Amino acid sequence: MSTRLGGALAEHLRRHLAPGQLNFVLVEGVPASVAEGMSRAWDGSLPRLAVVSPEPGRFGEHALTEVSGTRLRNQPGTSGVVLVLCDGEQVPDRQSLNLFESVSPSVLLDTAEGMGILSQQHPAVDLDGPARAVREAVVQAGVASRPSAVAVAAYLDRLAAGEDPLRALPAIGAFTDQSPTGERTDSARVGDNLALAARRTSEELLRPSAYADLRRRAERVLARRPGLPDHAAVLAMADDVMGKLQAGSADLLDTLRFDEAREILEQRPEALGPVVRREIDQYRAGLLPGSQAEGLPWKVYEKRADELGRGAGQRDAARELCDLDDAQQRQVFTKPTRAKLERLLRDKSVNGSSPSCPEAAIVRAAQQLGGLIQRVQVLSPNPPAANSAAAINRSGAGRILTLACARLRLGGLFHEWDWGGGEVDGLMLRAAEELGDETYHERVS
Amino acid sequence: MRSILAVDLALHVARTAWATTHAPAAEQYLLLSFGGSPRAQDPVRQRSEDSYRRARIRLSEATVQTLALRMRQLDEGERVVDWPSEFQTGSALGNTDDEESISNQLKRLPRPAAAEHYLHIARAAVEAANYSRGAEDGFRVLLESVGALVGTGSYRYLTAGPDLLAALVGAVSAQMPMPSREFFAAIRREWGLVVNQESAADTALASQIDGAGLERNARRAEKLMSDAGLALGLSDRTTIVGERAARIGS
Repeated sequence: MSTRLGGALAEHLRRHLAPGQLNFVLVEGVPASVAEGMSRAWDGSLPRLAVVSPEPGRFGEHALTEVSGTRLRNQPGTSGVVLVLCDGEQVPDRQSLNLFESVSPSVLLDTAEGMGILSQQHPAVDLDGPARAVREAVVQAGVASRPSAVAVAAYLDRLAAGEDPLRALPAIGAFTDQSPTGERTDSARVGDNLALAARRTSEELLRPSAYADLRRRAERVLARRPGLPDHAAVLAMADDVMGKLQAGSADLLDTLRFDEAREILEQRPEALGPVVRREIDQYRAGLLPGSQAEGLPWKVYEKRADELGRGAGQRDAARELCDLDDAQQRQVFTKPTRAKLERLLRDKSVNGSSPSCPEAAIVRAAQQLGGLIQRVQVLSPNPPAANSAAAINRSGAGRILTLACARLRLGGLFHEWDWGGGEVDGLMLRAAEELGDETYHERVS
Repeated sequence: MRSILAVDLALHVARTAWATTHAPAAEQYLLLSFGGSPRAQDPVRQRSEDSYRRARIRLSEATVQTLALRMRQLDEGERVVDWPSEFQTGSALGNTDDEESISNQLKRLPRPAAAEHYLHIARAAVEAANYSRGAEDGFRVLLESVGALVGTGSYRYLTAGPDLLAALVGAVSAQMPMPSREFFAAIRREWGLVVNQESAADTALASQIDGAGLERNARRAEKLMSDAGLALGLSDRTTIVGERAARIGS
């Protein structure tokens, strides 16, 4: 991995050093193997490479032995120098090198270009599919959860050897993962994974008072693993997880899958789709051979379970699955799962206040409804009646101003909607200046 | 004197935990962070938080392992152990009426029992009762009392203010004055404290953080020492540390 990282650093410098000018660069605190990778990839198009290490023999002509960094800098006719200090090594005149430009291996993780350079070093890795999501997540990750360049290089080497990009995630400090059923793995999921893995040693998570709850959740989640034959095996596995969690062991990243870790550490419930699929499988496994229920179109129901995630088909899918459960005397789903399915059948409200963007809320509502919005109706606030007490008091003024703001912001949109054949409440089609009756208008002015 | 005694005791506790849990040598350090960058952009501070958290985790693990060892030693002794009486009076761990209490689990254990069985029970005991006050909270309070630990909650990190730096300089004053690099190497040897990239070379930090970031950290520590009169920046840009260094300069 260090050869990959060294080669990538050399390539980065080749692309970013100003050609034909004096370049003085300092690379500090890198493993000797990274410097070796740089040395191998170095060529005449780059300034002189000078490596300070306890084993100068490894670097041949690139080893810095008797010349100081300052002397290299001041040599007549020099085109610059890239000075590499391998871990722990230092030059006596370090303070005189403060004007050297500092380049660190982590610079490769700052941009997609840098990650591309890293992945293209021999043996090259094609960053496509889930690997692309990992690349994006690494570039976007904050300082706290971003893996080191050394770890990313090691991860890429494992991908080059044919490992699955999601299963190999522990190499960069994330929980092992697999693509959610019927969904693409996106960078947000990998980013969440990195952040959760970084938080696993936090004090708030490892409070002694939280251990009992963590163990209980670990037992509940691990009981669903198909590979664990009985309760004793589940308890042993939960004990192993708790031991690794309390010891801050990195082995936990291989032991728990991301979804499991999320449920145990964050109390975040599993997505409804996989739960429904699993309960359908459990129900089918208990059916008598040749029974009538065995002949049901189970593939269709599994497809409906996948549609529960989001989108237009969510409500229809929930309805169909509830009908299936009813037809089987409510034996298919557990009570919590049934309740979640029924919740999807209810009317929904969309909040446009946080952040304040009614247009985005309208788009979300259209997505939820699965098509064009046919009718817009103002349910509240009602404008106060003319010449009434409400027309001149504080709450009446609030209602009038709310409507005026809505008209000002959305008037153009609603008028176009109205002309396009949509049914829009007349209250929203009035001019924003129509604040209310004249009495109120005078008092405001 | 008070500061150095507190640091000595805190580091003794940490070293005992590292030895008890067989912590790898690369994990046996505490990273001091210097600087005023916002936390989100300061990798050294975040690694410092991590080094403190890992030390605490080791303390917690050491408690579990010591408890397991003590249970085993009691069991292997000559006298028959009355397990409920080994726990604090009134503690749920020694409740004879609860089938799953720790004393009943120990009673049921088939003899001779393997070490991992004791470890399992000790972990259950630590989960059911609060054993963290003695070691973990003591460690935290000691470091906080000398200004070596600042911040709150999950954002606590290790640093050293002028008073603590003065105490560290005073503690190695027999070898003073010395260049800052040698001073950083001395506090790494003596207390396991890491400040610059040279002293981080044999730790896990070498693969976690850029050497340049640690060097900037060292420059800020040097400046703090210079401002406090504990060090002197020479014209060749080297920094000499020592109680007498500032006096020589003035």
